[in-house]
Amino acid sequence: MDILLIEDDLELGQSLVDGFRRNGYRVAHVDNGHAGLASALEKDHRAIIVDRMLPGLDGLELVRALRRAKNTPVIFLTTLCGIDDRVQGLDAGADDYLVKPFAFAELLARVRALTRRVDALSAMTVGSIELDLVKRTVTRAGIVVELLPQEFRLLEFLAQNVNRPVTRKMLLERVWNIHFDPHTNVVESQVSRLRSRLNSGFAINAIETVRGVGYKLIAPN
Amino acid sequence: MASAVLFVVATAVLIASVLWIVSSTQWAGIARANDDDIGTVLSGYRQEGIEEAKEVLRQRIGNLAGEMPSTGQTYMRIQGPDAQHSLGNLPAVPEVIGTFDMSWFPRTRELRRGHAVGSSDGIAITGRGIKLDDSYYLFVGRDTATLEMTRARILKASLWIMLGSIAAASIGGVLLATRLIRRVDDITLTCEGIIAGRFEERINTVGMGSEWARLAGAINGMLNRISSLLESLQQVSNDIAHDLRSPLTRLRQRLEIARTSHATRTDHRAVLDHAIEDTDQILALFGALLRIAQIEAGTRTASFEPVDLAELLREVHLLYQPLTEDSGRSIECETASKIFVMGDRELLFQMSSNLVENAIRHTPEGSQIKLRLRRVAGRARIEVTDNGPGIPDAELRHVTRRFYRLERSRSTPGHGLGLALVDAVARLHGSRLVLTNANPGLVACVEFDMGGTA
Repeated sequence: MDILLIEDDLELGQSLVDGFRRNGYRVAHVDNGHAGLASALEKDHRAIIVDRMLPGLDGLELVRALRRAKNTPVIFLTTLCGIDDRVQGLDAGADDYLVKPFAFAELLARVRALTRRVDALSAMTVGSIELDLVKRTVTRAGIVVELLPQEFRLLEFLAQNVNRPVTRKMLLERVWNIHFDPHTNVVESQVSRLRSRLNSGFAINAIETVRGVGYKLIAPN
Repeated sequence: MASAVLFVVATAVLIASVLWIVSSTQWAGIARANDDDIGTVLSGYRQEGIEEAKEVLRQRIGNLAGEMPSTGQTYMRIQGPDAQHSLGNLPAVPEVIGTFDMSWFPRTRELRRGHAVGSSDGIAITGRGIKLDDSYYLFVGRDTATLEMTRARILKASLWIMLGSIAAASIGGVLLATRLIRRVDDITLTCEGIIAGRFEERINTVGMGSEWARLAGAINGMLNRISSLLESLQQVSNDIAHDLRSPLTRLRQRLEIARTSHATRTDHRAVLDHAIEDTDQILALFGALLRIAQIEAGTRTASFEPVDLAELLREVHLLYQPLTEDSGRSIECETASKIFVMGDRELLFQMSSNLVENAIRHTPEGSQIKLRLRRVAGRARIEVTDNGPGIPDAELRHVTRRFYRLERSRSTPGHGLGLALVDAVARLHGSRLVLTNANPGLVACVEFDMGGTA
């Protein structure tokens, strides 16, 4: 899969390129906004990673200009962590917003989540797990699993990213709309609850912990 | 300056109006008097003919005969086909029908139509003429000298009035300006003092009128705000300098030991893991500090919206329930319904979340934590209570300070910013964090004015 990275910090840029290549992605790296926008408009990249502060064309302007023509998924990388900066970035048309410094695993997980196909579904099937997105109910191998609403939301997000690890930060943001970092293991406890309910009576653990990254839902048979 | 000009113009308009009114009244008076006399002669003529008319005239003029031509004097003449049949106190007059003016020069016995301008020995007469019949013409007129005199008097008076009012306006203007300048100077001096670094100076509002007091009050308020922002900035800088050195020093020491020791690759791996942890911790600390500073700068209030506090607290409760129970404690939630406040949902969530985390962190296993939302005296009150050890009374005042760690917690993980952030969010919303010991346990309480939809 082909990613465009627009980042003027050459050291960071190189390390990101290496990281993505090691994970099987093709990456094109440019270091200024104009070249970046040109490439973004000409080619069909699967995802674009943009630094918000760029020489020449500013990151926000770049994304606005891109959005007039294309829907390519975009993640902002930035040192600006102000509460309004994120909103501004998303309003400009970006799909995600990551504050530096970040763990590469975090960026990787988010790129993976961005590049999945997003369909408007009424139901999802993950192996023997079936989710009714309208009624908000779950069955595993035909047996109903009782979940609290937030546990269902958690499972839904994991299912949307089946077989891909999602980070704790992503879960906090997507499931609970929390953009600060609680210093406790809230997410671990929540996942642990979901896991125990989902696995109750079954041999296979449907939610795996991926060390150093987060959690992923697998498709149990 | 402008007001002085305005004043003068207004006075001029007033004088012109007075002049006009007086003038037209007098003209009307003369016309009426002339008409009355004509009427009397005419009625005499109608009753008993021309001789009666002449008799009436003789009597009328006779009353005045022998007197010097005086101001306002009446001039009448009945003019027949020749001098024999004419009489009056004027020589032959032009037989003009209707109202007209003429000038009579007694010395040269000259009579001219119109008012001779600026002639001192001429008498200006305004009168009316009618034909009594085919042969006889009647003229009655009056001297308009009074009119001219009145007008001259009014003009002279008004000149003095104008001069007087210009003088008054100028003096008034100067006095006002001086007062204004003095007030402005006062304020400018105070502001300059503050610019020069004397941050405690404020404008003295003693003896000020209400508008000035309001302006000064607003400026003083602004200065108070700047003062507190500066204090906050100062405190943050101090705190950063003091309390960030520890984790950074620790990090450096670890890395240095690793560099100089003959450790294995695995050991290096462990050191690097620790180093990353330490760095993450420091970054989290910076992030929290930055967040607190942003909140204290108060730029978020513009985007306040109605927040459903009951719904928010229930979400906080649900979020933390698994963690609380996993750590051997319990958490309950009790919310009154339909409680809305104007605020920032994200910040209020973080505030509540911090309070819960604080309760979890500072209580022993088995403790009970309670989240409560209720109406108290028309305000919305959020309470997070626990039945743990509470906070020693001596330390209660200090715990909202940045980096403050309780004596007994010094060695436990945490950076001491949690309650500082809670307080910052509370203050942004016009409230503050109030901590009290319930013996047992702690009560953390924040109250808000209700707002938005209710």
